[in-house]
Amino acid sequence: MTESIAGWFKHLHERTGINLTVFYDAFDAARFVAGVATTIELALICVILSLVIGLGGVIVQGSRSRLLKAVVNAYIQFFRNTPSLIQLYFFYFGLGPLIALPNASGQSVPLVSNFAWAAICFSIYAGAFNIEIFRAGVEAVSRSTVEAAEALGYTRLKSYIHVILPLAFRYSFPAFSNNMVNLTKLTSVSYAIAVPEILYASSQIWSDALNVPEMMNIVLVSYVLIVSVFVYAMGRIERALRLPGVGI
Amino acid sequence: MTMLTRTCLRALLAGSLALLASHAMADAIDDIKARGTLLVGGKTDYKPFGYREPSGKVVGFSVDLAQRVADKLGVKVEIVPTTAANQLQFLEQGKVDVVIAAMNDTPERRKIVYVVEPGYYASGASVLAVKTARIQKWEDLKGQKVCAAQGAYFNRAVQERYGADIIAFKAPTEAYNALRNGNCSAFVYDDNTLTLKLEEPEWAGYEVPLKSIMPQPVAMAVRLGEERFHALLTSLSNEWYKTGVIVQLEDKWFPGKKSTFVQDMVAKYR
Repeated sequence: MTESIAGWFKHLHERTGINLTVFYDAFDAARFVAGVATTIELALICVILSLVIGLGGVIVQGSRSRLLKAVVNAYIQFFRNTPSLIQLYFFYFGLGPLIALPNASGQSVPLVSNFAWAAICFSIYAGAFNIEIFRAGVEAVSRSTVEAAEALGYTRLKSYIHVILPLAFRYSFPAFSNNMVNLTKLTSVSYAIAVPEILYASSQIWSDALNVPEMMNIVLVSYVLIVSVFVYAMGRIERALRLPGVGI
Repeated sequence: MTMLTRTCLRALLAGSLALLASHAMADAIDDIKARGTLLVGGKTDYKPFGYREPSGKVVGFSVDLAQRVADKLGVKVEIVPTTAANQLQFLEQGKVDVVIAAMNDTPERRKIVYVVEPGYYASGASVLAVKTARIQKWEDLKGQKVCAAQGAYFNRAVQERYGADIIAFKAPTEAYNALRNGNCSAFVYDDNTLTLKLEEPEWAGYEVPLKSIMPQPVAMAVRLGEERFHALLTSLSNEWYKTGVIVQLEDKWFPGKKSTFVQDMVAKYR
């Protein structure tokens, strides 16, 4: 089966000049599949980390400590107002070399890899947006609900965890889902520091096989597929979380 | 595969391939003369073939040749900065008239552009590494992180043959940086350029320890179908060997070096 598919694409290349090496060249196929896997892995790690940052940040924003609030606000302003490519360069080339240990031959080797920097960078970038998104959700929770929780003896933190956040999360889910779709696409920026994701793998392939238009199509189709599956999953979660009667 | 998916796939590809095929323009030589400027795709970070002087001016072996081509056509020359990963696309899209970017002649490239023979120099791949890493043979790179520049023709071979873990950056500058920061244990690149890099004081602790692999001529290239321009450049590069231009340029840009490639070509075209 795989033999005949490979044969068909080889034949396609000879007959029409359309060179889809990823379907018949085992080496190119392997690096492309690895690229897809890296993109998915990076996106999932970033979604989870940025969700944690968003929830943590919004709890801190609701706290009474002026200092903590100021720290979170500074973080949001800093990471929301700088481009993520610049942040990536800053972390990888600027900060990376400072966090290093010498290896056996005396050369200092950075402890944080390019993949890890990309994961950190995109998580805190999308996390900054998530805090703002969840804050909007928290503000949409009606005052009377919050007062009811307080009247029942919930502490501030407990009322956040058990009453406000579950409602706020539902209110802000569509905006959160948008941000996460953007985050998935943002992973392609890590191409700049040679994280072997889809775009990087494809550029390696088209540099060797010189099939730029073909690979561009494959990259586009791959992103459409990955993001479609992601959007479908987010839609399923949104429906599962639906609260009848609250209007969400 | 069903007929339907096959049709869809073909339609999708045909759309973008149409871009490639639409080069129904006038002859390149006419265009250049009408414009009064020869647009040359060249490197600006590739010593000594094309690099920026402290003043910002692009100079180098390839730039001198570009000037000669422009003189022959009676026009001015403009260097458009390109990289190994985009030079042929710039050429195909008509953003440049000719690529003189120390581009290596490979069979894949010959399928999509006209490569001018004979090539004007030759280069191969070697590695730059810190001396203490003690890299002695290509096999030592197995499993090691090795920096590279995207689009170099030898990247795949180094990965496939020697099992190196290639980390390819957009430009050589970033690869040099990553090597210095310790993100990789060696940088695989053009042997001529790396050897020259060693002369700079900040690379004192580094060496180019390996014998070059995959030597290839570096050559000019024009769009497919540009018969007249290709013929002109072919006769020019013959002449450059005959009249000693290449020998002079080698002496100017690689002082003291007498490469076997240039010697062979001079003997062949004399």
